Amino acid sequence: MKRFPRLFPLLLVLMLSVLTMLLDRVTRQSSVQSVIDRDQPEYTVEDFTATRFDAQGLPSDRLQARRMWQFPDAKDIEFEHPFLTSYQQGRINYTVEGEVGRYNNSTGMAWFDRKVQLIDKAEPGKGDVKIDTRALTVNLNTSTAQSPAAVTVYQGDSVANAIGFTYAQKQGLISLLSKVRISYAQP
Amino acid sequence: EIADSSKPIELSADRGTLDQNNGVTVWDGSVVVNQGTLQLKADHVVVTRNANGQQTLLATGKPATFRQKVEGKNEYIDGKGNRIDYDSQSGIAVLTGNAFVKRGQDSVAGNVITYNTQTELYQVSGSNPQTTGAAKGRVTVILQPKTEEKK
Repeated sequence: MKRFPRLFPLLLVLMLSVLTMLLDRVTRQSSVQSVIDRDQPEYTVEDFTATRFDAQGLPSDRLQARRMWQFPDAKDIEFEHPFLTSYQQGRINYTVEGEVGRYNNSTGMAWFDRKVQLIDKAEPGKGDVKIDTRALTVNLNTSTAQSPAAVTVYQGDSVANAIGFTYAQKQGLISLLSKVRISYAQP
Repeated sequence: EIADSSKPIELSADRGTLDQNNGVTVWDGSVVVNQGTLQLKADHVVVTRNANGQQTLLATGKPATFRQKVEGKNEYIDGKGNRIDYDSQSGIAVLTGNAFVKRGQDSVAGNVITYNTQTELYQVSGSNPQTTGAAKGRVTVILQPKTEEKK
C-alpha cells in the first residue's frame, strides 16, 4: 500500500491520456463526404426578396419571387414568379415580371420567361410604356432588355407589334427588329 | 377625305425605332402608312410627335407615293415625290423632288407640290436654281376639258 501514493500520479496521467484519446475520437466526427444530389436544389427559399441599395442608401434594384432555388454547381439562381423593380433616385423606373426566371449575380443578367411584362414608368404627362413578350433578357447593369420573340408595345392607346426587339431604357429607345405593325391613336 | 385626319394612323414596316424621350419614331423597309382613306408608301419614314401629341411625318423613297380618296366622290388623288412631308394637324402634304399629283384625268408635275388634304387644293412650283442648280424649272399642268355631262 506504501507504493500506491507514489503510483497515483502515474495512474492519473494514464487515465487522463486514455480519456483524452477517447474524447478526441468521439468528437472527431468522421468527415463522411456528404453526398450532394446534383439533381436537387442545394437550397430553396420561399417568398424571396432581395434589395440592392445605391451609395445614397436608396434602393436601386429589388428582386422578389414566390420561390427561389439554386442547384449545387449552377452559377444562376432560378425563380418562380420573379418580379424585378428597378429604381432611379428612389423612384420606380421600370418593373419586369414573368412566370419563371433566372439571374446571374456575377454578370448582372436576368432572364424572364412566359408571360413576361416590362412596364417603364413614364415621366409625368407621358403614358407608361408596357411591353408584353414571352421571353426577355435584362441586363441590370446597363438597364437594357432584349428579346427575339414576338412583342407587343403599348403606350396610351397606341399599340406596336413586331418580332424581336431591343430596349435601352436609359435612352428611352425601343428598336423593333422585324415585321412591325403599329397603330397610332390620335390624342 | 376630311375625316381622315381624325382617324388613327396604321403603319407597317420591316423595322422601326421608337425614341420615347424625343417623341420620334423611325421606320424602314416597305413602309406603308394608312390614315382613313389616305395611304402613303415609302422606304423610310420618320414620325415626330410634338408636346400636344400632333404628328408630323417625313417619308422618302424612290419615289414615296401617297393616295387619298376625294371627299364625297369615288375618285382618288395620287401623288409621288422623292420626299413627302405630311402634317396630320394641318393636313398639308408637301411633295419635293420629281413631284407629281394626279386627280382623275388632271395632273400636275414640278419640283415642289403642296397639297392640302382637307381642302384638296394643291400648289406647284418649279425648281429653284439656287437650291437645285438645274435650269429654271418648269411646271406642267394638264387639265382635261370637262365633257358636257361632267359640267
